[in-house]
Amino acid sequence: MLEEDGGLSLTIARIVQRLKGSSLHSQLERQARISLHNPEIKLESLKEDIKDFLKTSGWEKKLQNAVYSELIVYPSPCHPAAPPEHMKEPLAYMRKAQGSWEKRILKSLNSMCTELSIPLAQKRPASEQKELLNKWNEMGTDEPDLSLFRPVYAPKDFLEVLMNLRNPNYENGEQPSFRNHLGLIQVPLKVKDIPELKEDFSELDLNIGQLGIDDSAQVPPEFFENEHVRIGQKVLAEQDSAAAQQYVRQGCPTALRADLWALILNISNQPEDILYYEQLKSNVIQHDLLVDSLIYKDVKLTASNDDYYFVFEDYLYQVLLCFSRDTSVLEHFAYSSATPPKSYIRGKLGIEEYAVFYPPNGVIPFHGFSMYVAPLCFLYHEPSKLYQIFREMYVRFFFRLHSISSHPSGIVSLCLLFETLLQTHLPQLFYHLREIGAQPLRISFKWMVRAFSGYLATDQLLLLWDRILGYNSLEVLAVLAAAVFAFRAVNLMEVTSLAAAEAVLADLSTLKVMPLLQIFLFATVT
Amino acid sequence: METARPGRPAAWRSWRPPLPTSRREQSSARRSMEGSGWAALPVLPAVGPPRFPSRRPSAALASASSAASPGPSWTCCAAGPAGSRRGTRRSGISSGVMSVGFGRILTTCTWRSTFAFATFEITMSSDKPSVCVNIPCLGKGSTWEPDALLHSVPSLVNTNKSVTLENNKTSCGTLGGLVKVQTFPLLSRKNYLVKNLKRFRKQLEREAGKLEAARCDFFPKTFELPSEYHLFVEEFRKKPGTTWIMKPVGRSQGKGIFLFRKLKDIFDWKMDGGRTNEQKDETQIETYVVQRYIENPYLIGGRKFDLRVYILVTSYSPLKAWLYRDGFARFSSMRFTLNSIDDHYVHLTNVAVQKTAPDYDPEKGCKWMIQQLRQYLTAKHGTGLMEVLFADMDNIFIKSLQSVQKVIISDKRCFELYGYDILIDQDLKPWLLEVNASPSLAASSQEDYELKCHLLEDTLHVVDMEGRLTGKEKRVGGFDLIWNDGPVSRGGNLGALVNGNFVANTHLGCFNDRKKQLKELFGNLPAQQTA
Repeated sequence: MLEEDGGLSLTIARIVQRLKGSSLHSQLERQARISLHNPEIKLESLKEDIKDFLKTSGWEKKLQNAVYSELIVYPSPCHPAAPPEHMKEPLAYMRKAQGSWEKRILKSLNSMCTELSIPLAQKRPASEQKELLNKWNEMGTDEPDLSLFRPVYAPKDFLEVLMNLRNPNYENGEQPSFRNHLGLIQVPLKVKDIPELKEDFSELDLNIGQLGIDDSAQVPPEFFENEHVRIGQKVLAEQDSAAAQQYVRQGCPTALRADLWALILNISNQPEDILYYEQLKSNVIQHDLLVDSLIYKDVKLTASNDDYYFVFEDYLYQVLLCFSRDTSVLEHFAYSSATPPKSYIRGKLGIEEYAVFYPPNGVIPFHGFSMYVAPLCFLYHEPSKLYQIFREMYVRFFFRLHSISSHPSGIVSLCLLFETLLQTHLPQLFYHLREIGAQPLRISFKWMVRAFSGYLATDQLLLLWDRILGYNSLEVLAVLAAAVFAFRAVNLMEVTSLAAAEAVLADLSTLKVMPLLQIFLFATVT
Repeated sequence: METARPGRPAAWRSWRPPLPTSRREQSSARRSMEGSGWAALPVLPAVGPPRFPSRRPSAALASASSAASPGPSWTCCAAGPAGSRRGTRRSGISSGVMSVGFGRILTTCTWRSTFAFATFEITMSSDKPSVCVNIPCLGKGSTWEPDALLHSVPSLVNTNKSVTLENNKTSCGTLGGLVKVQTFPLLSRKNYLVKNLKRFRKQLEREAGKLEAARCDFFPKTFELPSEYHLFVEEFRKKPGTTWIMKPVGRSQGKGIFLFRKLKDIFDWKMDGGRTNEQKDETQIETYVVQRYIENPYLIGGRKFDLRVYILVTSYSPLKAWLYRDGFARFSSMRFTLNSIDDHYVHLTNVAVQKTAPDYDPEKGCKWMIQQLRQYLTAKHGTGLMEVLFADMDNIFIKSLQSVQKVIISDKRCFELYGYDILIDQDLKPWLLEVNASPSLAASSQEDYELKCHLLEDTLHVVDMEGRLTGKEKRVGGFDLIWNDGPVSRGGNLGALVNGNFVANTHLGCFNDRKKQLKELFGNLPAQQTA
């Protein structure tokens, strides 16, 4: 009990500390000062009156949302005696694995640098700056020769690393036995079973209305949809993050999604946010980074070739190039197992004073990275707002999909959850695929790393991401991956090779996400 | 929810249409096609079921062919009323093959001695898989000439002239392997459309007042050249700085289109045009329409797009029109800007033009299904504005059809499928750009391919040559009846009101669960007939 209180006060202290530096703090102060001129505010009851004023003017809600967002993003503090790296990742072998993975990435990046004799960063000549500024809105028309560049890594390479992950304190045993996990992931982590998932995702139950099921053409809108839309408008009017988060668990109506997501992520697109974005833009225009080429290459390889997202090519550059310059992204490394790579000014290698993070945001894009942004282009068309939403989605969720950690939403846990679900509930299918050399994770890994972006139809993808936001967890990705296998189980039982299994699962664009999740979680006899 | 099935093959383009029995036959068939002006079409082996993409049921054909009985039949290659070997009676062959053109789709009809079935094999192009539509024809037992099919399906009719290679070069106006088919020209010829709309607007103004007539203002200011040249110049002088677009009336797919801002540009064109016309045809000067160019199109990701929507008219008097639920938005591959009007790739969203753009990537297709567009716009502008936009579009369809209603000689057995090109501007007002009869049915992607196959199947369902429908249906497959001598409402009976409000029976851009609907509609019939 005592410890819990200690934890709470620590949390409060940290949040107060963080909010003190924010623009919200100064805005609140300004509002409070302005309110002094208000005749209703009396000197004798100053404190109470100002509190009332902030409540009625809606500023309290904003503060509440900010606190809520802090609580969600930052993990609760560890025991005061624990070393600081525990906040990043409590398991030493995971930290070590992440460290050596980062070294590999950096080595590959450096060797590309030397091979092509391109510096990591350089200032653009004035003429080039002007040119870039002119075509800022149509960067996709540019066709630079990128044949020499290659993505630093692809999900496949990352899977190899995860497969070789071992806990040194755990006796794996070379002989396969019933105790062994038959999948590719061999680390012991606690993952949820179906009863626990049922409890967690209780709002997806069969008797609860869902957008993505109960809004289909056969169901009259009076039954669920109209009422749900009405509640959604009410939630928006209230401007309450927590309520919005609860609400989207049943799905967002298309027309309200943009606003509801912004509310959950606590993004308001204030003038200073727009200014900040413009600043990042000018940074892009001034300096040319090697990662720019990687971003270009990735967009050209993925989103530009996508049937749905090709339209948004220009937006993707506008977001991703700015993202790579944004040093505020570095804050997420406080709770991420990853550490931003460092580079040194020429000639000063190894001297800490001359170290800078490279790229400035500390995130090296990989093959498929731009697909995290693409679906958001469906919802937001002002680049600055789109940018903020993406950044917030990244520091809340997406970073976990390409770093090694033991977090329940981390990719390792997701893989393990997927394999465990499949092994427990479709043992025959799992065994069959394993026997023919088509480990299910080899197929589903890329879906999960990209959060299914580019695999599902856009409307379905947005319904899925509704639930990610609603439950503040990525576990739904692993459940969906398992549900897809269950859905195509009959066809998969007939295949005899990895290629054939991949062919069966090559096209997910016709799948309906919500029925699949619901059936897998709630209508399967366990 | 979809049914479990193997995933779509990675490279669907590598599918092949059913091969004829031997390679030599194929090449000879192709040669003879070329000679007659028809694009290459593999001749079906007598009754073998064609190879389908794995999930298409081929039971229909298989069962039809197994019931083959020897008897007389018709063989007709190289269709075309004139100059073709038509109706050669051969005995001992159980079924015949006829090829007719359907826009750019080639249709092979195989029918049985009893004339109970016609199988339309629709081949998008020579390297894509074909799809079969198996329909029982007319009543069983009735005698039936091959021409009956041609006349009951006007879109299938070849031009009166026999299309030969020489003709292609000269007056026919068909180019590069495209086949000209006969259509009612009144709506699709650009200048006629303009004339009819102007006339209709005047008539409405007289009969129903200015307000009603204003509902016809969905067509940008348009003049016909050279006949209305003076009117045009007057308008041109009134609004200097406007951009205008010139389109040749008789051509399609973006051929011969250009933009201009100065009158001088047309003089240049007149000079050029004169010369090329001389080469082609001394007697005829090509008519153009000049149209105010919409300078504030709605942009998505900085790109301009237009919509292609399909309308099926099964009768003009009374007017009976069906709206297809699917359609697509075609994106320009370049970013939209008015600064470089010479760069005409920017402005035309016709796929046929886009294909020649230097960075055109056939993999991309540059298309969105209309459902996606509707979802995108709803996410940005809310449900209310979308309903207004789509209601405005319905208005366009109806008014444009009404404008030509009186001038078209209606035949009970005729039907026409129109492709409407709609542009949306930044104020979310839809504009009618063009109406195409025999719209292109070539596919640029798997999704597109499916759309067009389903469209064709449903067209044939609505046309109902088998007589399976009662005539009271408000929906057949993906088609919704939007006009039946008056607006059609959603819900139970024709003309019934839903909660006292009139809700139009339009579902453009809504979920198209046509398979299920067809099953319900034709449920009592054997599964094979629902194709």
